Amino acid sequence: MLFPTFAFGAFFFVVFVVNWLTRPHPTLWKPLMLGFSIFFYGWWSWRFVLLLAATIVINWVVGHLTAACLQGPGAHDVRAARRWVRIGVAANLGILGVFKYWDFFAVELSNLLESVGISGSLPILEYTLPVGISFYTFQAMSYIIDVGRGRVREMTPMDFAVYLSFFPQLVAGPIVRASEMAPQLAARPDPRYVPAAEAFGLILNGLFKKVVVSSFLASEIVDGVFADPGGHSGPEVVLAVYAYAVQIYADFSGYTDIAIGVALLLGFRFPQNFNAPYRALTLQDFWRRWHMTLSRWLRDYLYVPLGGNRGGRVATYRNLMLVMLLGGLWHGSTWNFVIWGGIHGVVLAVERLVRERRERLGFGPILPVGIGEVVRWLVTFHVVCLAWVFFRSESLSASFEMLGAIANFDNYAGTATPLVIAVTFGALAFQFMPEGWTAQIRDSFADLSWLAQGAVVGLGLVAIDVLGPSGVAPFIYFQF
Amino acid sequence: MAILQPPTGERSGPALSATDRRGGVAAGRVLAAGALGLLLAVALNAQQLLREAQQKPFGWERDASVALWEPVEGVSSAVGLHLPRLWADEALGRTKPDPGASVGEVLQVPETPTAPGGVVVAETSDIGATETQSAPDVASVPVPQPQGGSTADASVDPTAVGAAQSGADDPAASVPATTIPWFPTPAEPLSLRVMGDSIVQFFGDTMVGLAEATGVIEAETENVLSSGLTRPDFYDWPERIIEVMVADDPDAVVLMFGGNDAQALVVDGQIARPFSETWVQEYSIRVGHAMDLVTTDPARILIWVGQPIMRDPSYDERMQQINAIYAAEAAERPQVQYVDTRDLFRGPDGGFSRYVIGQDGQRTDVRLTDGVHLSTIGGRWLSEVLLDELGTFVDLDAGAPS
Repeated sequence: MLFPTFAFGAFFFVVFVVNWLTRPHPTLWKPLMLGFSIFFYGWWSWRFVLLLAATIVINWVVGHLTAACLQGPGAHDVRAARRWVRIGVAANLGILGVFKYWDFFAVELSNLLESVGISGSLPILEYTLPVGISFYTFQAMSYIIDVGRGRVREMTPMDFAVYLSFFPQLVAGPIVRASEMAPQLAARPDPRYVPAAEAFGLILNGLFKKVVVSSFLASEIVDGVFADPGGHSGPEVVLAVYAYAVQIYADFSGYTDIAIGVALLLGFRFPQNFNAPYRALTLQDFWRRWHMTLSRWLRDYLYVPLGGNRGGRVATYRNLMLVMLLGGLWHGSTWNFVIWGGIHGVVLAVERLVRERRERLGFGPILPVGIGEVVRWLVTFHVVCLAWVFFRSESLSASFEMLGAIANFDNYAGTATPLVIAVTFGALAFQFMPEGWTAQIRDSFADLSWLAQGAVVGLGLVAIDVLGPSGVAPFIYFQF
Repeated sequence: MAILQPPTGERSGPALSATDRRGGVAAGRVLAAGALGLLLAVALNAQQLLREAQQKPFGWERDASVALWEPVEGVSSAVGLHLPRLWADEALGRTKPDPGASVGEVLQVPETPTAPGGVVVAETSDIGATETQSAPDVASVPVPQPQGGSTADASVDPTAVGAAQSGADDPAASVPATTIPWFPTPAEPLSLRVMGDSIVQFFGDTMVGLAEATGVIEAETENVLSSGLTRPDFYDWPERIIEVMVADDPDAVVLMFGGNDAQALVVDGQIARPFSETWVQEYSIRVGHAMDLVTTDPARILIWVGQPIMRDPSYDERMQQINAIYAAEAAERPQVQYVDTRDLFRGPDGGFSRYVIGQDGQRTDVRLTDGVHLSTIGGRWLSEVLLDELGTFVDLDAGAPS
């Protein structure tokens, strides 16, 4: 079930009413919310519900066994707890591996053997990738690791099932941790204080970003240029890359805005997932603003356990590279995603090296503050865009074809229309909007009567439908 | 050790903070505002919602949706609430231009197709310019002859991409198999139009790029997601074909439909179940009609692309039945070349596979994960095969820059 559809609107209307009526009665509310979430997920495929159910059962059992090693009366078997955590992580990675990575491995190995004259191949499974598997698997792993670290108490089976399957964040995040969700499941939010202005604002903003901005740029320039870069001029290719940077931001952050807004209406607050990432002046800053819940997951469950920056300079760079390469692979099993992660890893390492050198040698800023910031912004944005070329292209050869086409001085295909240019650069400029503006808009909306609020919501929905293309393409991050 | 740390991440208390409480309103008021917003959106958008309901595949879901939206639309239209949306669409140029009488007058397209010899042929350079001709005998005009190796029930060699290219060295292959009296040059290029459903989205742009790289083709592509020939109420391809033929008069056309066509259609007000006798008869007529609309110009080439092998066995079975109709209709029309794509995308074991072994012996990902659409590489393979097919009619090397 896609958010920007009437079906979801009707579904959520029912969920909203039932949620606030039953929230004071957890024994009733929890199974109902679990049922709603399963219905939402089963809308795509009921077979995937079985996998989700299996993930819930496996992870709760592992979490329970881990907790029993640590939290039982007189029990403090750290080694056994660690063993269970490892088993749980392995099980989750195994599920991800079968559905997401096996075919990549089998094909690459077969091709490698074929290239050295050895015939024979591993079986290719060709399973359909279950929607949202990367998101809920990472949430499940965070739970069992946190139980093992003693940072979160064991959840009841019902609480854990509601947490892992909670429909607003189920298919594309944000990646919410058990430590954030458990207290909210235990709490009884006051139905007299629903943050409606913030929620409606997020939902309308998310719908606009997805239905209007993302779809417009995809159809008007991105898809065409990436399919045939050689048939377009260099400036068009560059514009298409910028437009893709805006498209993927509008698409993904649009989804999470809606998810956060929907959760707010149900009395839950999710962590922020984006914070104007294209205003970042360094790549490190970019990763503090882009897909923030994945960034912190990788930091806390991968980078820090690998040693973080505690093992010396070389180890730090190695850890950065490893984290970003695995972060790339999290998105999908292609060399393109590996290179995408590799570019980010290398530049993060270089940034760190330069910063440390300058601090050690006592160098001040080379350029005046204003100019220096512009240069840093330009460099950061273009590094991100370079990586996006690999992220968006279907193959390495297509990526290099795209980059090579930047040097085309003819073949203008007419895709760089004034509207495309305005939307692309307008959306980038919007990232620099003072944060207070959104608060002002929200406060103005909150001051309206409920009739006026309803009118704004209704007109906003119609305007988005009018401005967007017919039909709604699935969110880009559903494939991850 | 981290594992021994006491629980620190948990916090108790209300889920929403004090800030939330200050800006919050009662759930009932939120419900009222939200319901009002949805009702307003529905009222203003009722025509669009009804149209979308009517465009669903025939069945209970469509019936229920139509039954839901019809009265809403009736009330909305009666009080004029549909007008703001209409005005907005008009202001944005979203309303479909009415091809109107001019197209019909120009082409005088028969409602049901006739035998090839009975097709009404018209040539015009401008919409509105009436220049109707009497129907010539197609057999008497110079038209391309079917190519035995790649038409109708013949299949395309799955690894023929490179082989077909190397065929240019073959003296026999270098002789244009057409009597079209001109050879495209950069100054006078061949105009190509690639049209169809969502599969075209995944190879249309690639094919345009490859075609234009020859230096002697000017190509355009257009696709409409979820479209086909069974549901003209969703998207009227015959009407669109007429518009394109009249306005642009392309020299060659590539059409690919079918992926959305294994659904019920309406015949004389009655719903015909997919692949029933009535359905097959009507769908065959529609396919033939579309072919005839393109080939009203006897010098125009039409390449009709069959559906590739699909992952889902029952869906694949339906696509094979549809392909058989295309092949049969194409076989009756000398100007129409049917290209069977099943073998091109057949996996190593003969069935469906995302990973097909290419000319270089490497497994290549040619399909998307949905088991239906083509990857960029798959789209490139198909485009190359289709351009080779086009090259059997027209010498695409004739005026290409060296």
